[in-house]
Amino acid sequence: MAKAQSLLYALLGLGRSGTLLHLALLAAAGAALLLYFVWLPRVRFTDADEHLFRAARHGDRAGIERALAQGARLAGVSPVDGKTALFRAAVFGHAGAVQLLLERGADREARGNDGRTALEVVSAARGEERDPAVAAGLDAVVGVLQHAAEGTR
Amino acid sequence: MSRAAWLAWLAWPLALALALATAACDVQPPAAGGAGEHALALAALGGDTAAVSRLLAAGADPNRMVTVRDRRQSPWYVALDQLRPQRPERVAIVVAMLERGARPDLAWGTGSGVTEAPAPFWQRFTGGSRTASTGGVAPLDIVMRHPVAEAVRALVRAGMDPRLGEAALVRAIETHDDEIARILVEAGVDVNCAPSLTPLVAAIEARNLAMVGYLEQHGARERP
Repeated sequence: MAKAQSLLYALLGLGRSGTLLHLALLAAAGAALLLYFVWLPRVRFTDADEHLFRAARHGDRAGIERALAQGARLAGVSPVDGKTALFRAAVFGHAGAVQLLLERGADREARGNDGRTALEVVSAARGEERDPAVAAGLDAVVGVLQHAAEGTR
Repeated sequence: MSRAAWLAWLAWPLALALALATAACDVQPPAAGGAGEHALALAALGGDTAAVSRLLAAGADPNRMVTVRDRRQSPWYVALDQLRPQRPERVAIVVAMLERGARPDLAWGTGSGVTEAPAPFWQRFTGGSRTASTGGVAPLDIVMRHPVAEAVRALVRAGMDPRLGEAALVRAIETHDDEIARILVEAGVDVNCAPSLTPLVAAIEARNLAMVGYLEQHGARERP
C-alpha cells in the first residue's frame, strides 16, 4: 500500500514530501482545467450565439444584426471546432456577411482548434473548388479578408 | 476503524465494477451452424442470389457461425463484407438476409477466433463503441466501407438501433453521401451526436450548404 502510494506520488511529481493535501490540490487543479476548457465554452455558447452562427452560415445580414442585438458575442467560438461565426460566413462564400462581421469588430486573426485563420481556411477551400460560382464567392471572401488586413496595417 | 472494515469499504466499488464488467460482456457468440448455413455463406461469397434465397427459405440462419475460407464467421458477415455499390446481386443478398432474420445491429465473425477481446467495461459509459462489448461488429460499420444506400435503407427497415448510426452519419456527410445521411437522419440518428465531429460541423467542413440546411431543419445546433 505504502509502496503504491509513493509510486503514485513520484509519478505525479510530488516526491517524498508529498501529502494527501498535495494530491487533492493536484486533482482540483486538473478538474478546474477540465471545467475551464471543456465545460465553460459549452455553457457560454448561448442561444443568441446559436442564432448568430446560423445567420452567418446562410449569409443573412439582417439575422446577424438581430443576433448581435440579442447579445451574441462576435468572439464566441463553436464548442466543437473552436471557430467563430466569421469562419461560418467565410467558408460558404458570404462576402457581405463577412464584411458586416468585420465592421462590427470580429477578429479576422482568430484561429480555430485546427490552428488556422478564416483566410487560411477559405484559401484552402478555394484551391479545391471546381464549381466556378462557388469559387467566385470564396474569392470575394478572400478579397474582403485581405482588404481588412490592409486596413489594419 | 479496523483493517477489516477498511477492506470492506474498498471491496464495495470493486464488486460493483466487476458486476458491471460481466454485465457488459454478456452477449454470447451464436451457435455453430450446419450444412445449410455453410452453403449459405458460400452462396453469399459467390454472389449467387438464387441460391441464397433458396437456402434462406429452407430455414438457414444467417446469424450462425460457420467456417468459410478458414475463418469462423456468419453468412451475414460474409454478405456484408462482399457488399459493393456496383454489384446489385450482392446488395440483393444483404437485403434478402435482413428480411430473413439477419440481425440489423450485430454481425458475427471478424477472423479466426469466435470471440474478440471484450472491450473495457467503461466504454459503456464513455460511449466509445456500443458494439465493442458484444464481440461482433455493427453491420452499418461494414456497409460504410463501401457505402450502398439501399443496404442502409434495408438495415433501417429491419429495425437497426439509431444509436449505431452516429459515426456512419458523420462519415456519410464528410464523403458527400447525402442520400445515406438523409436515410440515417430520418431513421432517428441524433443530429446532435458527436462521435468525432458533430454532423453540422462535418457538413460545414464539407461546405455542403444544402446538408447544413437539412440538418438545421432537423434540429442540429452548434452546441451539441
